[in-house]
Amino acid sequence: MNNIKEPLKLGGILGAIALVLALLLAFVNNITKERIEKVNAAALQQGLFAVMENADHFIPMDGVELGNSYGVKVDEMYLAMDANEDVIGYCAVAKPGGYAGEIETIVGVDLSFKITGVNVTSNMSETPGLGAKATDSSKFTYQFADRQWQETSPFAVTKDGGDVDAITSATITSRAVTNGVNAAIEVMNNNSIYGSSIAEGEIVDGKYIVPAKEREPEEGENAVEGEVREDE
Amino acid sequence: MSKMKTFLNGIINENPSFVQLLGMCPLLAVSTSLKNAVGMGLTATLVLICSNAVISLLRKLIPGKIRIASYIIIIAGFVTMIQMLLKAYLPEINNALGVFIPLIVVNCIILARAEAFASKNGVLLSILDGAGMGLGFTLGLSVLAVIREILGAGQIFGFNLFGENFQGVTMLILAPGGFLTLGIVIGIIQLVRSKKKEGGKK
Repeated sequence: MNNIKEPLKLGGILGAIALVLALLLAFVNNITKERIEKVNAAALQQGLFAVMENADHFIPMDGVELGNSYGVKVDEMYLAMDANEDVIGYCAVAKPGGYAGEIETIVGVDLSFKITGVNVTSNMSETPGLGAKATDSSKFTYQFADRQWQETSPFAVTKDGGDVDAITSATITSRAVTNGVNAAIEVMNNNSIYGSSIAEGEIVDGKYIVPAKEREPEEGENAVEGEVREDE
Repeated sequence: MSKMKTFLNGIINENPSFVQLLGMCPLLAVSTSLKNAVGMGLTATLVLICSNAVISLLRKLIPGKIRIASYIIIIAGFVTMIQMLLKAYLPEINNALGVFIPLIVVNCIILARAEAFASKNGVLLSILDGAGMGLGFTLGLSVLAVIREILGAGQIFGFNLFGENFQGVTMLILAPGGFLTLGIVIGIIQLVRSKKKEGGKK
């Protein structure tokens, strides 16, 4: 019986230490949780306004199809609204994998899918002095502004045959952000709502609920759309 | 050992970065910019002080057989708490350091000080030892970061030093530059130390 007592005692002590720390952690979590959410929300708002200067506020969209063919995680999509409650564009947050983890990239487009801005937030861990330059819009992301996106010819860095100049010695980061822009726009394109006004009742709890609808391709929309859907 | 000596021991004589060669992974990875280096160093110092203090307090209660497991739980607890606080109050530092904050748990400096010092000494001395070792680590990080940031990116603390057109030695910012800088700095320190010893003998 004696040789059973010792492991029990040791386990008990270890368990007690773990329990005390778990309580402490719960306590700290409790006092920081709200503030962390606030900080994250503020950072997101700042990022959204950076890519869509004309917007008055943003409404998160619920129930959007977030799958995309670029293999990039696109987390969230927003309707950009002006002061008259009209939709003036879309914003989406893509998280492509860069050199050292995900790079949070916010992309804004107007209703004709012309890019209003691309913003790489500081929520990434690329190498300072190299990939981290992507957060400085004058160094890299300015290249996307005011450009028209076309599904048939997505953006690519010059090394891959495109016309986006990569940051010196940071091709991986540049390629990731470029891919993130493509993915974000594709997702926004698949979930665009046609027209600038949204009906009442479509907003529930501050979120825009995407109606389940049969999509009718509008003038100017190309046929490639259908193929992408089949792939999914 | 006197209190002052214990404190200075970590910064100079047994500097974890340059003399004990502990915690090399964060040292090489985070020393690409001074801001990150100082953030990492001070975060690690805080963890060291807290874990050293608690481990010293509990040193008579923790049986030898489970001491390492206990230390790891205590260290991991403090790291997680500090990360939550950073996220809430210093989100910029948290974003910049990213995955290296949770990795402080396995930073061998902290476990080494728990095992070699805090488990054998009183609370006050352990706190001083933690502070000394932590600041020594911060010093090591900062020295490397200053060299790498100035020569590699032409910046210090994110400010451009030489104007927009300066083309830094990119390699210094990348991983190989970390190894080279560390090697050269340790070489210089050893040279100075050996000269001092010789001088002492004469």
